[in-house]
Amino acid sequence: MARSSVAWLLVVAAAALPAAAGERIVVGSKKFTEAVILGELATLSLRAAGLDAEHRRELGGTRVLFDALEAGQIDVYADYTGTLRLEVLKHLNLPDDRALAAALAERGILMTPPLGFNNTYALGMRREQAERLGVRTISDLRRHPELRFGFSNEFMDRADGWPGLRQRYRLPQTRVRGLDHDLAYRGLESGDLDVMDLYSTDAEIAYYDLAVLTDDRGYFPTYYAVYLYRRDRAEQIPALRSALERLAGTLDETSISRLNARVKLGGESEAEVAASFLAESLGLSVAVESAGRAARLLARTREHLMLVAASLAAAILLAIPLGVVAAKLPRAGQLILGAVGVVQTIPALALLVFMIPLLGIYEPPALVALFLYSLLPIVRNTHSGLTTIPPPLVESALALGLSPAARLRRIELPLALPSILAGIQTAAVINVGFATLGALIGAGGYGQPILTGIRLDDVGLILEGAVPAALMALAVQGLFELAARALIPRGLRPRRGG
Amino acid sequence: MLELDRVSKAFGGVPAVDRLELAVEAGRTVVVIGPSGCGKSTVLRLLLGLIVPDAGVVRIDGAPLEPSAVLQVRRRVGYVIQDGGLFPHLTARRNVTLMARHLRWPASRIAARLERLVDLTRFPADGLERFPIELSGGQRQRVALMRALMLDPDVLLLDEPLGALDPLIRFDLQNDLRAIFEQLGKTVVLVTHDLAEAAYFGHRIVLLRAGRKVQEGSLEDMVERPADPFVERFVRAQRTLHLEA
Repeated sequence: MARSSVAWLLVVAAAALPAAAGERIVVGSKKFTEAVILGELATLSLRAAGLDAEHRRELGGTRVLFDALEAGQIDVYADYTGTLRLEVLKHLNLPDDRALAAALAERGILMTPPLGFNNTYALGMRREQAERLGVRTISDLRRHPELRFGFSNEFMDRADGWPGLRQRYRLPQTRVRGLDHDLAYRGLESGDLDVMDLYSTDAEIAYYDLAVLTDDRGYFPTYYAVYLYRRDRAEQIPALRSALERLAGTLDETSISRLNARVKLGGESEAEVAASFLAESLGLSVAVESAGRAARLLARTREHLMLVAASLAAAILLAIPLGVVAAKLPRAGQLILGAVGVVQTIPALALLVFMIPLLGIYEPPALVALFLYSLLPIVRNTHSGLTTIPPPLVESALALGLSPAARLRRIELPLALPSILAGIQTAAVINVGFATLGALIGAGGYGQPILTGIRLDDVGLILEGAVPAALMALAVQGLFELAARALIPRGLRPRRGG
Repeated sequence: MLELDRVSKAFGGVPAVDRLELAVEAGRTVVVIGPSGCGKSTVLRLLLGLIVPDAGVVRIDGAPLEPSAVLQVRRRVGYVIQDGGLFPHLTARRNVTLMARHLRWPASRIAARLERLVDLTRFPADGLERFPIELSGGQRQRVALMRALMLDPDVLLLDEPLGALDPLIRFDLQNDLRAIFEQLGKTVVLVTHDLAEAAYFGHRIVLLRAGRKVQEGSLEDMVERPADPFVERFVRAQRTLHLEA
């Protein structure tokens, strides 16, 4: 009861944050470069039509984005017809894109005509190795069972990904592992991998001079890029539809590969690339607001601090009473300490994913996950601070005739204070680190530059998140040491020279 | 005034007191003495309601000690233990005035009472703002005594109050304590293992062994008319110790 009301408090607090403003159109994007560029294109095109649009970038994978669209947490995002038909709505066995549009409409979701290019899956190898082994088609892979495959996690699991491909081609390889798509390129280059999945519009294909294997059995379906958007929003804001549809048919494979390369290899920002494309091909002039490094850092710091402070505050409010109950009622204490201990063993990523169906994306699931992780150190230290009070002091407090509540307030909690503060400090420092994971579900914070930095192979950007996160952890540590000095009475501090 | 009526209490099957009879009249000082583990501290805990007897009755002013009345009873009883039991997070002043503040005494009344206690216990006034770790052992016991006397209780229970002090300080405090007892006319139960100290304080001495009363009376009674060989041995052992010391 208490726990769920705290969880709700967090949700309400997070909902009150800037994320959901009435007329503002929220564009989401998946966490790879092409998706971010398509998100920027949509956002800028909406703004050029005089609409208020915001881009929440790199929110996650297909499932997260589609669910967020259905839930109304975002209004627009770009996806691929093949993905929608064969993965998201697989159970409907949709024969073609016309059936897809109808099925989406039943869910209140509209789809623009294709933007132009077909970004299908492909398999790639180092050209030198492919030539040496004589591998030109996917069928040729059957003769080389020793090859090591590295696939993006999404490709590993999707029915239209590796499981279907292996069956269609009867591929014998057993050394197959899932990893981040951008890391796979580096693995291939360094020779740790032999074969990886590609998106046919990836800029890296040309850059690393990869051999793309022919899909000789026609396994991979077509993946036309389209925008999905909510019908209710389109009815509310008529210009929404036309602003998205004017992008239809404007991007062929060459254009999108070039845009991808300018970001991934040329170091331009997605917004710059998208703006210059809109100017060249549609004659739209849009101002790109490019925040400077300082402004960006400030925004990330604010987001990060909010995540840490709100989750920690809620955890303190619940964990100290729980620790007191655990100390006073040994049997309930076993349960409480056990339960918060179990929460701690859930991997952070898994916890975030569990939260998405309940709380959607953005701050709420990140806040709840951080809140849950903060409980254990505080509950445990409150409990141990109270149960290790020397018996003569416990007896003296009893003998004075203080009521149980007064004993707790005047004697026991003050004596346990050093331990409780240490628990809060531990929780806070851990929280600063964990909060970087919040970027995986669009909660912002220092994890955002780290995530983008990994995607773009940009060490500077990774450091832009990692260094402030480390500094913040140190600052929190220092802050709590000052607080301890101010709050803990001299009589409880170790005496100099003992 | 205070009475244990055939009280038994065992911890983990080992009896701490066994069918013990003890009566302390108002305004008198009774010393409970005996070797380690004889159950003397248990007697004080029973009188405070800190532990509940397995059998028998504890009576305060003739009425059985009920759990519902235990807080009220404790506020009329001052309790001092060996190392003082002072709260390390509070200064000497706040240790002494804790209960009075909790009961919302007016500040002027608290100040007046504290001033009187500082005089009574000859505690240096500049020590009031110190924390227990900043005080000497003897000063800590004086603070503990002030805390016990703050609400002007009818009864004082002292559990080896001088046990942790070195001999000179102990001597000073013994004198002061006896003067205070005589001046205030409280009902006092003092626990010690030292026969000379018992004789110095007590109108009456109760010698315990393994939770049972062996003899009750004056030191003279025990020297001249020991109830059994144990009393004789106990008395002789203490005297030998003091001669050697």
